[in-house]
Amino acid sequence: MKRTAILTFQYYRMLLLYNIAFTIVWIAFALYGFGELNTVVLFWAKVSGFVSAAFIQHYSAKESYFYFRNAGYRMRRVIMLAFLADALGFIIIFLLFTFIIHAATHFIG
Amino acid sequence: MQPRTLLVDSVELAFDNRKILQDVALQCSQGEIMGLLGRNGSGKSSLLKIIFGSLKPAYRYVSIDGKYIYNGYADGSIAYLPQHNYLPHGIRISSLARMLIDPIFWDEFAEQPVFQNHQHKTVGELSGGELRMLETLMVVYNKADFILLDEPFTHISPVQTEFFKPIIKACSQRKGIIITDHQYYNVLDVADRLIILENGCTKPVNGVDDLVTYRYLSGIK
Repeated sequence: MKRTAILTFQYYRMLLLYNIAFTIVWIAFALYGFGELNTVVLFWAKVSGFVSAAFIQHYSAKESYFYFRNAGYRMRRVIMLAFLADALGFIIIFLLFTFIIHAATHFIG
Repeated sequence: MQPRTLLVDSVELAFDNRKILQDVALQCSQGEIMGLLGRNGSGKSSLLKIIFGSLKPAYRYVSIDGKYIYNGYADGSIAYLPQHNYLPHGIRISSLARMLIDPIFWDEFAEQPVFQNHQHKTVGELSGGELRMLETLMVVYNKADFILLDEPFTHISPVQTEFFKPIIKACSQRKGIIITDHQYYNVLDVADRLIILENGCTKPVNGVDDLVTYRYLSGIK
């Protein structure tokens, strides 16, 4: 379990900059297209950001897949786990952010 | 414990209707080093990738002790050193090594000077030779029972080559190793037996004379 978590984190770390950059681009694109930012649009931008980052990684650093394979892991599994971790992280940050906004609104009035 | 045996048979691989591999059969048991020779483009790397499971041919049969293996790497039975660098950038060497090295051999691996000197660095901070040495060591000390080495001697100096030969020999006492390299004399030094890939088929090599017969060498000096 710990080994799986470390390998997933290592793969996720390789994607991180691409992931953030693409997510921002997709959010900007969605804002421009839909004119508003709601939960569905944000989640769609997050998923698109991750997929775009994984796609770029696949074509620019595919050689590193042999590291994960030599650790005994299928890439499909590593990518899927990284995606789940990314989605979970996003949901937690989103909920925290929403909670903070509501709390701030409530206390400030 | 009975040594395990890797069996590869009936491999068929073609690119653009050009048959690369068509009559491949080989067997490697724990405790032996098998040298795989062949000219450029003969399909050596493709064959190793097929055994490893990262390349899907039209047909293949790979088994260990008679049990069919769909993906050699997925159950941790086979490890593979590709020709190119494979360690991911931006992660410390010590963190990468912990994921690949068999815990039983960790102390032996950690004693290697190249690891001791560079364990806190990342891939981008190493020279090509240092990186290649670490990558090779991480495959050799992997927990897999079978090790596939694709050109382990190509990007390293002669001194480093001599350093690796006894390590590979020692590793073969507990693992089965298939090794290929264009520095055939180094392969001859470490291999217990040889096969050659010619016209997509594997053929046994019983002596250096056979390498001339199969037109791998132009002559013997």
